Amino acid sequence: MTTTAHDPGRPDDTAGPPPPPLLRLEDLSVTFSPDGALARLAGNRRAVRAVDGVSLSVSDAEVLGVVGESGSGKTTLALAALRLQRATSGRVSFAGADVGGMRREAVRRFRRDAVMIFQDPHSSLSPRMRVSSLLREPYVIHHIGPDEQYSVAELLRMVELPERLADSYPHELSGGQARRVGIARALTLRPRLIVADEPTAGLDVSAASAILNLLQALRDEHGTAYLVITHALNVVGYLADRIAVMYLGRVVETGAAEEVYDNPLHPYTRALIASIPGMDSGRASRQQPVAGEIPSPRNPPSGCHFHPRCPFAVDRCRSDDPPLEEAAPGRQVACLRWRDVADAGSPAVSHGG
Amino acid sequence: MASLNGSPAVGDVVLDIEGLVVEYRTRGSAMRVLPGVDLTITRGEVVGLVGESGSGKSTLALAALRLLPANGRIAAGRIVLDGTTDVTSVSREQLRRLRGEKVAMIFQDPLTSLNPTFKIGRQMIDVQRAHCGGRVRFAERKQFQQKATALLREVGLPDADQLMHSYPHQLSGGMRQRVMTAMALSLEPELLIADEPTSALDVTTEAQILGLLRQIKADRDLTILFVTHDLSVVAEICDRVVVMYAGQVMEQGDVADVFERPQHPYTRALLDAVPTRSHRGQPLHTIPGRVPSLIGEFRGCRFASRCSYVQDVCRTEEPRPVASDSSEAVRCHMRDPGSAYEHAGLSTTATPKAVPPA
Repeated sequence: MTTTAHDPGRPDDTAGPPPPPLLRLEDLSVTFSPDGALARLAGNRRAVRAVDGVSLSVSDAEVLGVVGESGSGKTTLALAALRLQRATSGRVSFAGADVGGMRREAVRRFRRDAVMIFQDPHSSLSPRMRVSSLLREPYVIHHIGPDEQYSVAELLRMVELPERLADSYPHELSGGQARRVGIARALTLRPRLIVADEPTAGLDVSAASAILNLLQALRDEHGTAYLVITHALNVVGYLADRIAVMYLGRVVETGAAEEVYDNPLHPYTRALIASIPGMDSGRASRQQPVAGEIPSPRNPPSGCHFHPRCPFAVDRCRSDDPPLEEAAPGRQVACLRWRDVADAGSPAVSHGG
Repeated sequence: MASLNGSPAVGDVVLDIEGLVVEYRTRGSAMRVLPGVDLTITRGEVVGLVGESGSGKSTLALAALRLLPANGRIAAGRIVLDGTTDVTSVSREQLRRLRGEKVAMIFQDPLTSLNPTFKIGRQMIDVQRAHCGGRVRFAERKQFQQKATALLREVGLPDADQLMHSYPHQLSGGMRQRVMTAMALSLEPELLIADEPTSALDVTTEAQILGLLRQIKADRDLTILFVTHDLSVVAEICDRVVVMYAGQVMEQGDVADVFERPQHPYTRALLDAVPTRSHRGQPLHTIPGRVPSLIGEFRGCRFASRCSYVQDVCRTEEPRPVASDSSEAVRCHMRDPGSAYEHAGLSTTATPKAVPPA
């Protein structure tokens, strides 16, 4: 069931079995159960399956984009992948090692190799520390000797910030600058994997583009792998090699970014693409945006979770759970009618730029 | 009050802003956020007001209803509604009536605009009650209620009756924005100002809200001023675009024309920075530097420090707005044949390079 990491663009000169992917999630589930007296009193006993049997992998230097609406479970997935949220079932492995079973020293090492850039940079930077201290803190925590450290100046240069900001406090930074400090902090430990949660949310278009360029450049230079979580499909379309589309805790489609974009097989992916406003799409050719909203994960619809909003839904979709099946090599889709969807042509987005 | 005689015709000026100067007091110094803005909106238009954070677009929107924060003030200029009422000089009572009846506003975050402690129904009714003056009889209350549910249905909330008894926190972001829109429509305004109404929403919900605004605009003959930093949203819903930078209108014109052939380097740069699939594999364009601080005096073009076409004249002389090609008005020396800018190819027509000291 696992998506095999496959990148035709990368030379594969090692003979023998391919190395395990850097990050692998196998049938991962995260369930939040209401407990405690308050929940009992409220009669609120229903568990929420935020992540529901997700299998994904990220290889070295690969960018996997996870897309979905709020409530699709993508942030919980990211947290579980980094052991910042306990998985209810399933397995996370990093470079072949089981993350869930790691002991103290191994976890410490894992925290160096896999880091997170949080969505809101201002709330993830201590307001009482100067930028220079914020950038040195990871070295103190991880007892890293001076010969393995980047200097503050080097780090600021990497994220294209002027050196004079070293003495600033977070509140003195603009949104884009704070985001860059967050990225610089993630880079201090030379991680192999960076998980970025909505890296451009809340930024002006120019600042957002600069951040995307920066992430792209860092990946080219350091070979860092990324797991990028976003609801903005154009961000993922620009940055990612592969895309996984999530809906109500499940992966409904995966594949190479261009293929998913140009030829979406799942009706939900089509809806997401058709919803992108603007320049790429002709206003005249616009279809009706997808109706309704993502339902509560507390009470997901039967069968295919997407059926109440799906223009392709038939009776079978209300009762049968669609499995994630291989539609083409490296391409998976969870839809009973994906062949019909594929035949229906591309959604209302022109292919021009 | 002040309703028009006869039916309003398309093409009337709904909002006419002239020489609007807005200042904010900040620790001793006055920050001139808008240095004298002119903007005209005609009936039936959807105008997109775009710019980066700090461009003054929200200030302009707030000033139109005199909703500026306490440290802000309108220092000069006129804001004329319907060619009759000057918002800057009306009494408090007149202003209270204008808000909602002539011009209504919806904001980015409906959760902070709705009162968390009252049910939707109560808040929908309060808006109407506040504008009918005095006490409300039972029959009227009933009427308000009916109107509220009808409005909620109109904005795409079919379970209106049930919704009237819900609290804001029980609704999703998209539903709250719909409720806000319904509330804004309660008093049949002519102009709706929407300040980043979809910026906090998912793409799918955003598409729905944009579709809704388009629908009510058509049904109600509404005029919309749409404030956003997102150019793709402007392309999606607006007829005309007004590009602001550091408090000034840099370019305005028909959306299709301006986006096709932007005349101002800043508009060009903003458009180029939008990530699209065609950019894959190549770096995106960015605009170096930041929006300048608005404290102190400006010399020359405000965009000069970030502009890739900058010349000496741009640093010393402020460009004036001129019509150029696809744009109704563009504020750039490059487009002004009368400027001292060395126009490539047509530099002979330009005046010799003699820049008077500012």
